Amino acid sequence: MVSQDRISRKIAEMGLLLALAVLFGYVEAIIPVPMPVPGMKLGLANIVIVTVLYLAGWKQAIIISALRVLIIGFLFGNLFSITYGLAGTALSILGMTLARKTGRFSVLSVSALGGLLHNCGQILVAVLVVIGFPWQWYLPLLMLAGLSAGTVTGILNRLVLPRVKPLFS
Amino acid sequence: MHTDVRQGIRKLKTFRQKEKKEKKKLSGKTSPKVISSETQIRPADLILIGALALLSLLLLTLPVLSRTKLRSPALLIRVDGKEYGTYPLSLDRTIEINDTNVCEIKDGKAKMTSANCPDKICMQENAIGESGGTIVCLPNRIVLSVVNSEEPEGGELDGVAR
Repeated sequence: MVSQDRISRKIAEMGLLLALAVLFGYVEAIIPVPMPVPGMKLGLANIVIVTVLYLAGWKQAIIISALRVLIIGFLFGNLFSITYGLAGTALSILGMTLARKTGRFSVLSVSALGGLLHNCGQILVAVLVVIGFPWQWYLPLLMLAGLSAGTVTGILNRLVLPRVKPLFS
Repeated sequence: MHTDVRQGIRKLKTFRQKEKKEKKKLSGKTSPKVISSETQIRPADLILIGALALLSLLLLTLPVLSRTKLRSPALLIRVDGKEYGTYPLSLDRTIEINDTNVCEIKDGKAKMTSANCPDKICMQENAIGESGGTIVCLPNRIVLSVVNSEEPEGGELDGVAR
């Protein structure tokens, strides 16, 4: 009985977090904030993903971010945006999980690394899909963009994690 | 409204505490997922972020350093990796690319003026001119780049791979 309750609550929790992650992506899509690089985003959804990664584990983080990319893609994007999103998110979560496992870094740099790797994953797909893609220009610029965005969400995560921790089972 | 939410949170917390006790009774062990030290900034954080920033800045210098002024710049349009056409930047003109995009050459600079994709990021990119650069439309797989249209003269470019 008790274990079944816990499972139901876990499902509800994950559903709520997924909705929150989708909402962050939606808010960013409808309210464009001027950014130095066209198409650059802060990646507010990363706050949710990192929170899940720290409080629930990497498996849940992968599930939630993959579902988020699919939902956002079907609602507002296309097949391309799904491919780019999945590659970015996969590389990002892989890197963040490994960085966290070393035990040397705090959320701040784990999130910064995640932001950087997210953009690297997207560049990787672009190189594979668009022949002649000038990655020499885009890679360092998007690495810097991802690093700074990831650092900002990392700072926010330092504030978020201790506050939402008691709400997790 | 707020008091309702607060009451709800309080209820939830007491529920959690009860459950934690239950859990302890059941399993006798708890596994805290987050150690508080993980939100504390450590020296290793600054080193990692600094190293990554330095690495991307280093990578950025490579294309900047290899950039040279072109003598007779031309706009090369590639779709799906195949050459669509080359147009000299000295002549003002408008080029339609496969009914999906339109780019314009004006005053020696090229710009994407129309695209049928939803995000229109290529249209926000700065115009590219004789100092080089690229504009990419990812959804339609179009790459605009400025190249030197001059045919390499024999002897002058010996040993340069193109």
